[in-house]
Amino acid sequence: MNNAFGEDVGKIPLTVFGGAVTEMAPSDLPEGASPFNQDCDFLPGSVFTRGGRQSVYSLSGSQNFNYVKTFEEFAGLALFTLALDAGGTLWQEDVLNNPGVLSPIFTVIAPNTFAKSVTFSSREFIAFTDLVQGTDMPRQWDGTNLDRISQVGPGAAPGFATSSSNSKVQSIVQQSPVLFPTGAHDFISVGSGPVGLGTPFSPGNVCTLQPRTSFVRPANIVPGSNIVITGAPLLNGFNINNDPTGLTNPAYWTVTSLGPVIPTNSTSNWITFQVPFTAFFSLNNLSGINVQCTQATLTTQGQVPYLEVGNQFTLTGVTPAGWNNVFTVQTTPNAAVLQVTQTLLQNNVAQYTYVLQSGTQPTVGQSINVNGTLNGNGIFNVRNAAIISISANTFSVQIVSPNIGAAAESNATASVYGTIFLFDPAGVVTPPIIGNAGATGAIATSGVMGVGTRQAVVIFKTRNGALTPPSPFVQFNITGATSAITATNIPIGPADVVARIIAFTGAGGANFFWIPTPQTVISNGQNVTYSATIINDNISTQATFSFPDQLLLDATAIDIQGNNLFAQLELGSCRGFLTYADRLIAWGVNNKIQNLLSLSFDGGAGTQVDLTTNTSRLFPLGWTIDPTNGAGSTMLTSALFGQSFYIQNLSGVTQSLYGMITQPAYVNQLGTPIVTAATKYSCRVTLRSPTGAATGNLVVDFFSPVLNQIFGSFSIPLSSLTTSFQILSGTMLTVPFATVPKDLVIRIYAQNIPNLGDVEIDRIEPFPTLQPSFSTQFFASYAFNQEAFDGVTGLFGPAQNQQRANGGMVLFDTLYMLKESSWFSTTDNGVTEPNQWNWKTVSDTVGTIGIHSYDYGEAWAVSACRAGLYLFEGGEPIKISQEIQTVWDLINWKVGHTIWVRNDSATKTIKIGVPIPTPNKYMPEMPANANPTSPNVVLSMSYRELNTGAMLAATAPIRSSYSGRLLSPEPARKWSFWNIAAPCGENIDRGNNSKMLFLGSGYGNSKIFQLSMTQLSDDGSAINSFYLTHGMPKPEIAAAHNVDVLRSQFDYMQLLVAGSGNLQVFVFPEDPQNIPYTLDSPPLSAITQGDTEVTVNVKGQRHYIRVGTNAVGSTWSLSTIIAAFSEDPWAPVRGTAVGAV
Amino acid sequence: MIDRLGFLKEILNRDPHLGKLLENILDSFDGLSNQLGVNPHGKVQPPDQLKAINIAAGTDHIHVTLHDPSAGRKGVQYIVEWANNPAFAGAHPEDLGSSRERMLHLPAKDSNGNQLTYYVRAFHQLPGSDPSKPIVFGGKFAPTAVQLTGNSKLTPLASQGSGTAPSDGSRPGYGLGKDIRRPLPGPKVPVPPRAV
Repeated sequence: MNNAFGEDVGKIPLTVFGGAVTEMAPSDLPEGASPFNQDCDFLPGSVFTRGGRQSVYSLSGSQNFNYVKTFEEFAGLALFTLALDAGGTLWQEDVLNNPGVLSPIFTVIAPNTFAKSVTFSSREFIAFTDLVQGTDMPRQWDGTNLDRISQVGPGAAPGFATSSSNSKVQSIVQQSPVLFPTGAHDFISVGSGPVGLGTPFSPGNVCTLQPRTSFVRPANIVPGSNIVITGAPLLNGFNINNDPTGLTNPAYWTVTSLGPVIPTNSTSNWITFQVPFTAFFSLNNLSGINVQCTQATLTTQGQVPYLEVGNQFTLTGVTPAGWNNVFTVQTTPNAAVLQVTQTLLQNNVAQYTYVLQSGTQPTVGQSINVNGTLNGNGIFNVRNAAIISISANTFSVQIVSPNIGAAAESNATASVYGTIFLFDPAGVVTPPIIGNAGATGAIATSGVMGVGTRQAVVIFKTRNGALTPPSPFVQFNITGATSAITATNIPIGPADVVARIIAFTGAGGANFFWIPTPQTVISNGQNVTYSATIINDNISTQATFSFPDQLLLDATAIDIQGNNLFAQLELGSCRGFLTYADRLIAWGVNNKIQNLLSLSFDGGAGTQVDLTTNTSRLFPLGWTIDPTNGAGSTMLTSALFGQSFYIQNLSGVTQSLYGMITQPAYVNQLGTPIVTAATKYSCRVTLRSPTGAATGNLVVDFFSPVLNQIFGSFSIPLSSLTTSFQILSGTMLTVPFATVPKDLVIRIYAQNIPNLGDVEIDRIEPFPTLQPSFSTQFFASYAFNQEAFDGVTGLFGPAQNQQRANGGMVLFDTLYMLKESSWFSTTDNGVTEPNQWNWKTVSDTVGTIGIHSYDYGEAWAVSACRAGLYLFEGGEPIKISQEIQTVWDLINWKVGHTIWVRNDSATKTIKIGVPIPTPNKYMPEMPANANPTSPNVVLSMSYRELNTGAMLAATAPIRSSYSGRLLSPEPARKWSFWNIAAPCGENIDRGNNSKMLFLGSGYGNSKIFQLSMTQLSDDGSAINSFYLTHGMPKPEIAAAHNVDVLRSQFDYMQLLVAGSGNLQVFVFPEDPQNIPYTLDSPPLSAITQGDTEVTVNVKGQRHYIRVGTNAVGSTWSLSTIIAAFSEDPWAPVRGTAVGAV
Repeated sequence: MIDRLGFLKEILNRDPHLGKLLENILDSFDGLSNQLGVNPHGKVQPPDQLKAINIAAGTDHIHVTLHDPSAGRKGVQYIVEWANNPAFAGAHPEDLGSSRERMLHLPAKDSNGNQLTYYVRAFHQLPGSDPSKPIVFGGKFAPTAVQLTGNSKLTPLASQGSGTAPSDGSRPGYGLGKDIRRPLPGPKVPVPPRAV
């Protein structure tokens, strides 16, 4: 009998619909709590079907998506979505210009790879990982190029040769003497100074030639110039004539000041100099006195490159012989410095538009140097090129090249070396007046560059602005005659290299510097431009440099803290990236021997003749082709990045040892050990066989030629390879060296390779077997230098335990490291590199389980670890998942690293993708998956109306009332379990100021989903969404509503429910595990027409009401249940010891 | 960045006494930093370049004076470096402390009686800053050579540098140092890093 009316019927309302609380027995749950529910979402006061999975893109395929991420460029002017499928294809969506369309940008990422990335400086830095360790190489995406993050430096240094500049002397001319005027007002005085009309004020040693009448002062006289006076009579007994021998008087006077007209005295062009006596006189009407400037003008028959102001030169074979000495250039009147403003190349003629900055206009036939042009990848930068034509503001030189369009230049200069040099022999030779010379003798530069031993290295500069580690160094000597250094065989880098940099030490120095841009300095009042030591192209193999050490030592140092290129490492594969303090920080970085050269074969290529084929072939610099077994190899452009090493047997027969290359493995150039004793080694090799060789092996081994012994090897059967690259690893040295042989080499070669067999190797990575990765540390770049990872100062982490670092976050200007079950913090101290930052413990028990198992809220963070989900606000992490601990414990923790956590601040929901065996007690109707290895369920926690982290932490779904009775409060944390398989989840910027949770499909259909409330299915499948109430009525509630607290009859219920389709209603008597009573399925309308009434007529102590829908197009939203109970009319008590439904 | 004022306000609302104490401590930090010429979170801006360096040379000593008209700050230290080459490779530092002048006693000739030529430059530095840009007597690209007229003979030993610069004199111009700590000397290419 259905009876919802009458005094004996209690009508118990339920208006609080809390989340799942699985930790308590269902019968113990207070009013409003749910034993479990599926695919529900919550608002205060209501529960409803979650949004359906809606495919965002229209891709056909059968892959899962393992990564999706927003990539924002240029302060939001460009917005992309990046996605990686399990097949290894990286996709991109242009959110602003072509939304909804994914386009592939790279297709050969290692399959089954996940990713963790960060946007930094308009680039996306992506770590590829299997979630446990780094797999594929880390890359950066700038919207155009997907380059490796950091790379090896050149495998070999250039050759260096020094040169001196010389020419023949055309003439040397000294100015003729000038006669001092004779007149009543033409004075020579000695006193304290030149003031007064021929009358010094007080005694002194300043001699002044003080004419009033017209006097042409010897040209080029400036303070500091030297003059010679002859023909002067004794002046008051003093002799001011210079002694050519310098014995009785100085051989010359040095001008200390010059004067214009002295006001009121009509005296002009006076000259002062100091004399070696003190006097107080002035005399006029003197005659026969000559003043001659000692400065000489040297004209050479050709330009003298690199001879600049301040440089020295040596004259030889000149007549008069007094000129044959070493002098210093004071000015170079016809040298010129030009600013190049545009370049253009047509028909093998390069035309430069210029503005004259100093000196004289260049002329046809002169040699010219050009620096700093960028057009044509630097092809316009020439040294000593002959000018073939000149117009008003352009000059041209010949460059053989295809045409290159005109482009403006912003930082380019040109310099024309002079043929006229002014110098002063005074102080160098005595007498300083030597006499003019004709076309006799020669000039050579001397001491242009600092004399002494120097070292030099070459560095690659990439299109991303990164500088690689330097090559090995070369040492050479600079002699006094050297005017320039010429680098030859400069390595050409892989395709991403845009420039090469030569760094030098100062003369006799040990520290390396390079000059980034041409430097124009003012020397002796004249502009002098020195070349940069960067070659702005990846083409030329020769360059010449000349610079003073003053300039070099003040340029960019490459071996100082914070910019030590020698300590930089090529970053190995890693598990994730974050940014902090303007640094890029990686974790879980794979280890490898770092001081072997060019392990990725990106250190440039050398050329050698293959003796078997007598053809020229390439080999990786840093490696040596084995003279016996080295045939058959070359280098290719790798499909992955940079260059690869390729062995192919075209000899017609099977080769036992083939394509062998070697390099020393004992110590490097600086004596630093490479392979160390007492260490086992393994090796990763990335390789493929393009033609699919069926037999033979690729071998990497350690070998001692002297002992003729292989100590360890890693051999890969070619038959195991495919035509696609794969990364294989294995042990290489299983018995460690007690003493490393001094001739130890590492070799790569093919073994027993059949005719036409081949193998292509992208990289090898030998590493200590017991230290395959820096699993417990962060690895930070230098500040503002995202690809510069210092192997000494960049590795940092807490030393407290050996747990793996699974993630990092930045909160409150503090860097946090999250390990498996511990948590640490550090801050940038602003003055040291990261290895000297101090670490503090946040928690010894709470950490994070995987690289994606944490996320941020507003000034708080959440993290999932084995113990539960924790909230962190800066103090002790607080657990916020205790209410579902029984579910948490069901997670397949063997693959706990696959868990992802995402917080949606807009909807105030935390979603956690977990691998959990289904069905289970709390997810009884989910698809069968007994051993999930990837998240197959999303645990969703709604925290609406909990506006701070503290409220979220404090407002559990169960709390105690003042009387001690348990309550389920509203608002509170509300959990629901969602049937969604998603290897990854990410909040994605859709370009309309909103973010959507995107879920990588775990259904093998190449889809990415978003959740939409208007999508009434999961990608076309029904959403089995239901909510289960607590066991009604609770005794205290029943008593309050006049319902017998013993066995009752559930008569009837009213539901305030809206939706579409038909509502499925069940009542579970006594326990949710029991078989339910299926009630009527009333139709749902979008707008309620009044409460839906359902007849129940079930008897028992407690009744769990389940409502939901499970059909495509169906949805529901429930906000009130009024349940009518009355005393069981037949059996209020049954009198049995054991209950029965 | 931590919103220091925002955090303080929040703490002041919650616990006024604690808030005032923290406010006082933070103000004290700022005052202390100002007094010492340091920045607890990084480096202080280096002082402006000195305006002039003057030298009078005698027989066996030179008198160096520095002209620094910039707005001064307590704790600034003046440093003079001299070298026998214009590139100042292996330059010898002389810490003038707070003084802007020093009489330097230098040998006129080396131990073999050869005339020594000196080049001199100067800079200044706060304890928490990098050194200022050096000023070279005579100018950077035309430094004035200084020779002494006496007969004292001594070949100077190699410079040992100063501050946290390497102890082989290879990094002149460092003054108190640019790095807060100096690593132990080692090869340019480090030993392969070891996982902890």
